[in-house]
Amino acid sequence: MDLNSDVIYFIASAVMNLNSGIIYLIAGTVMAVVFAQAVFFLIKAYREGLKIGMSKDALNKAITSSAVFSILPSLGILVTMFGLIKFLGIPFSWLRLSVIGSLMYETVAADAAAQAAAGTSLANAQMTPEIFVTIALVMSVGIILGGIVCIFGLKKYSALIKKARPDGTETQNDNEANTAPAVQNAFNAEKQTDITAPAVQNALNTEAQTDAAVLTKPSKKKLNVGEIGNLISAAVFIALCSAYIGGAVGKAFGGFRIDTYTSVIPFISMLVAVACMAVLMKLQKKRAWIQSFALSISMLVGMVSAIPVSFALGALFG
Amino acid sequence: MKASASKVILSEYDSKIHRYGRISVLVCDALFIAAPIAIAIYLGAKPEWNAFFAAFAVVAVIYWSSAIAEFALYAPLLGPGATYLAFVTGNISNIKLPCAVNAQDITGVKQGTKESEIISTIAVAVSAITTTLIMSAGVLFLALFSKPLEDFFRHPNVEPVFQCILPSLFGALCYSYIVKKPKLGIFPLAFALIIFIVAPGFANTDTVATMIIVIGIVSVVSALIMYKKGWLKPRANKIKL
Repeated sequence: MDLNSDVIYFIASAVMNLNSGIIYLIAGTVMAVVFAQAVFFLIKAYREGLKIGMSKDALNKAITSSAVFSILPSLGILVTMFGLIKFLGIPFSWLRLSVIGSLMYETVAADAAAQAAAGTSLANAQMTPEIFVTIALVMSVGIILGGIVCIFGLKKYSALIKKARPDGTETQNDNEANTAPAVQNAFNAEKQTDITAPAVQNALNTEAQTDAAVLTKPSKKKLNVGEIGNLISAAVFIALCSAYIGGAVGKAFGGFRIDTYTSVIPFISMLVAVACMAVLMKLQKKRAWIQSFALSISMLVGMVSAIPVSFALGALFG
Repeated sequence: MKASASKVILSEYDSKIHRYGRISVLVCDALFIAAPIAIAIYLGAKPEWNAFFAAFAVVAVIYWSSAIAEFALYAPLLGPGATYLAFVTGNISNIKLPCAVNAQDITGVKQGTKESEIISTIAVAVSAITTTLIMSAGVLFLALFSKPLEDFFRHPNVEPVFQCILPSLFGALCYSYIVKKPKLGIFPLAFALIIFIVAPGFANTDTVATMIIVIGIVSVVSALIMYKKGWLKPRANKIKL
């Protein structure tokens, strides 16, 4: 924290109270609704899981592992929030970083808005109510496109995906899902353009065939398309990992040189996390409980290793 | 009989998810816009519209294209329920998506099945709940102990910890994934390493997110080529030999 931003924080607080109860109330209301939405979907999915015969064990495992997994990255967001609070106040930063948006997005959007409204970076902007409101609006409007795309496109897109991946319309232990009566019911329940479109398509294609024929004649072409769909999903996910791994390596050795010892720390902690994961994956063959926590433990060990590593590097090169 | 009954339930579930998803996303998006407007009314301040549009153009150029790309890339991985939730609760690439993939992995569901969609919906919902609770606890803490807490997090030897979250997360996750599908990792990883080492300017947190799309295209194209050439099925080849 530099002196400059402290002074500006003081100015900002003197001009208006960005931490007033009313703004807390506004932010809290929005977050309560988003929170309720998450709880609602959780209950819906859980019940549906039980209904199609998934074990309570598996569903509970998904809950615990996801909760444990999310703790550490959430702490990272909390730290980003500390950075924003100085300029935007506690409640609005809390809102922006808790729902929608992301770690990377909020700071960039706030800064772009500050540049335009105040002609300077967020850190140096003289926060007036007008500038604050402008920044808040840019941050909010800039991020909602993802939601809008979901509203208009997700239903059709999901149908498209399921068409490309025929196993997606079935459950794992339900190979008879394509029987004609079911398709007929689905046809009655939904319009042709809706999510059941692939099933309906099957019904139209196989109208003349018997149930048995549908069951015993898995289309080879469709199977390949499904395989490719899963392959693309895996490739996208590995690309996501590669981007962050490459980012850490680039920070450490970008331009074939090392800037400061601190820039190598994320790379080293990544290696520690990978090593930890490798060990845990060996161990989990004998102790199954490890599986639920392997990723969280590796992440924690990797992160925390940054403290001794930064001490050691600081002592050697600092 | 039983099977056909469950099929009907599934499509009902699907259409319900889309209905609830659309309504809730609409409500939440409206609230996201309403919040700054309400604050503006409370503060008695009007936004500076010229500045708003100038800044909005910058943000839109960077994030609207990536929002569409994220939607196209992540929706098949997450399934509809989780996608609606993820695009309202945010932090998709750094929390929600790895969380969902991890849960799918742990529970052993096959990707693209109904089961995997249910698991990822649960994962994203629980993840959103966890993040909200932690942020709220943090705000409460902040109100009580703002100075010592910030001092601790900003301690020069503690601060690097938070720059290590994503590298640690994706390093460990990538390892667990690549052990199973090593060949898929070769091209995207090599490409990412070369790009970021030769052009380290891309390694900022906000440009990494943009690079995901470029690396994603390389990864998908290379995977498809390998698939077509049959390089992804070494075992089948061995049996033939």
